[in-house]
Amino acid sequence: MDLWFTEKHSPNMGITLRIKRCILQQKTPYQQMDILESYEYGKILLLDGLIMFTERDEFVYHEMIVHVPLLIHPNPKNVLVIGGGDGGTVREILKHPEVERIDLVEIDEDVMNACMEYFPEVSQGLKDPKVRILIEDGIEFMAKGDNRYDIVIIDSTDPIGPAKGLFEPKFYQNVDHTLGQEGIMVTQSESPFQDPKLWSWIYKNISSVFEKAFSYLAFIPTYPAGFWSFTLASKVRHPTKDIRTEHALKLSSTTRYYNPKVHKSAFSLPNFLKSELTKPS
Amino acid sequence: MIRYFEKEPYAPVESSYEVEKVLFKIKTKFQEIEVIENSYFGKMLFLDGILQITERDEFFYHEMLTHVVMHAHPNPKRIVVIGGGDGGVVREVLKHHGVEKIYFVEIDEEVINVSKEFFPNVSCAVDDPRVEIKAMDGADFIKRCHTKVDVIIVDSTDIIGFARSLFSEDFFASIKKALSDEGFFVTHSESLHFHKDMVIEVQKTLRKVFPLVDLYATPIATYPGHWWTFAVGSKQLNPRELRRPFDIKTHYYDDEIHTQSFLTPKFYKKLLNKELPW
Repeated sequence: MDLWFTEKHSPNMGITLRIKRCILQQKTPYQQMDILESYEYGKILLLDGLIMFTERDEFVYHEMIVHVPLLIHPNPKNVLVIGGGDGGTVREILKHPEVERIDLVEIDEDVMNACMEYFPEVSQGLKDPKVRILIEDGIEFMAKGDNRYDIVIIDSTDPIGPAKGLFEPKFYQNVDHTLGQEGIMVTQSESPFQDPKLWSWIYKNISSVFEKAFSYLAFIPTYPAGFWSFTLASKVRHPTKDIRTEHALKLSSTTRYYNPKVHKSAFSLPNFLKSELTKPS
Repeated sequence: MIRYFEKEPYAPVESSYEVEKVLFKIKTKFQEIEVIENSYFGKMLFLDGILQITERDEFFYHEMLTHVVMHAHPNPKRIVVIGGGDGGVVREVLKHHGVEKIYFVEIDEEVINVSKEFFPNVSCAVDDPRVEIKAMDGADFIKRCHTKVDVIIVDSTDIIGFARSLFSEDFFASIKKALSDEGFFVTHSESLHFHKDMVIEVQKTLRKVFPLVDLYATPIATYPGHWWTFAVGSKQLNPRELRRPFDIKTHYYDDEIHTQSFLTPKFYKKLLNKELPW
């Protein structure tokens, strides 16, 4: 069998992986979900034909979306994850013993169930007693504003279709209200190389609500351009000056990408991105 | 988007098909069987990575492989089908009401089972009481065949691997022995575009055995080169002539297509003399 999966990153380029087999092809109430097994990157989760993560490189994304905010916050106890039904983000949060409660708000239960079945290494943390799973829309959940959190992590799909609202100022205002005094929000913010305008649109939406926004970068080979960004909003803590270095060093024995130096350097933006942020929108 | 890239034996082109779903995959004693779903062609059957049939266009091949010799024969009663585990040829043969017996000789019984599950419209006739399934090598069956039969149809995979024995002089000689005096033999023989030398080789090998040998072709969208040929061997009757009225239901084959499908004598001569430039 000579099967090849292609994800187009633009009309003129894409990523192509040879695959061993299709493990699951399912239409959920929200999206098309496929699980493939590839030769180079192990098992892959696709939502609506786009790579969400692969077994081989998911650690980069999940470590960087979690450990950066959690090691800036002085004492993160309550963490909210919007999206992230695969459980990878929760798995990383659970490496921080000071965290007492994790709320996970995932709209698509089928994704979570499929990950529990086919990606036990990623989803293992979902069964932890600290984790409360809420199957509902993240935008509506935020609008209710019932809870207070130290950290809000938005581990969503791309800002097209249903996830678009997770990148808009109105949503960020609700996040702002839910965050405590030293609260931190972080969101995945697309590939600044592939789509710099989209990246700066997200950045500007965040900085229109929060006083300070900081974008940081990571290398994720199966995402467009292999060059990915996260954007963090912090009320008082500084993302590189206020790292809890001792904790970060200790944590580094459990991580494969994250360490305190990577943490710091991830916030250094190349010139073409700095200038993108100063362009008028 | 997932695409299936087909291995094209001997062809300078490559085909690939968008995969809606991989429906089935199994490795048998003989080969790998795969079924995928494509939005245009419907279900598609692959053996060892090579496309065999699609739901949408299988009738071109099955009708043309079957009905030419079945109409050239005055009264075909006993038929042998070698290969064709999908059952498409058996379905076509049974459209002829005079048929009393079909020996359906398929080396890999799994192909029949897979077809029954995924291609019910192709395999629909394989359980007919007139059909006797023999899960064995076609060449062995013909060698041991002691009764005369009227028509022998070879519906094999490409002329590589284990199907190669079905194109040898030895095999053709035992075919001739098994045929009644008015009998016909037909086999597919690859594409005139990409496999011309193989087409010629099959014609020449047949000519060593049969007094009458001929060649006809038909367009098939999903086979490499498209201009797909069928080689006929006959003991005494000319296959270009219909000896019975055309009164069965078909999608493509009819009495006019029958006669038009054969290569013109001039062109045929050029082919065998290797005067064709491509």
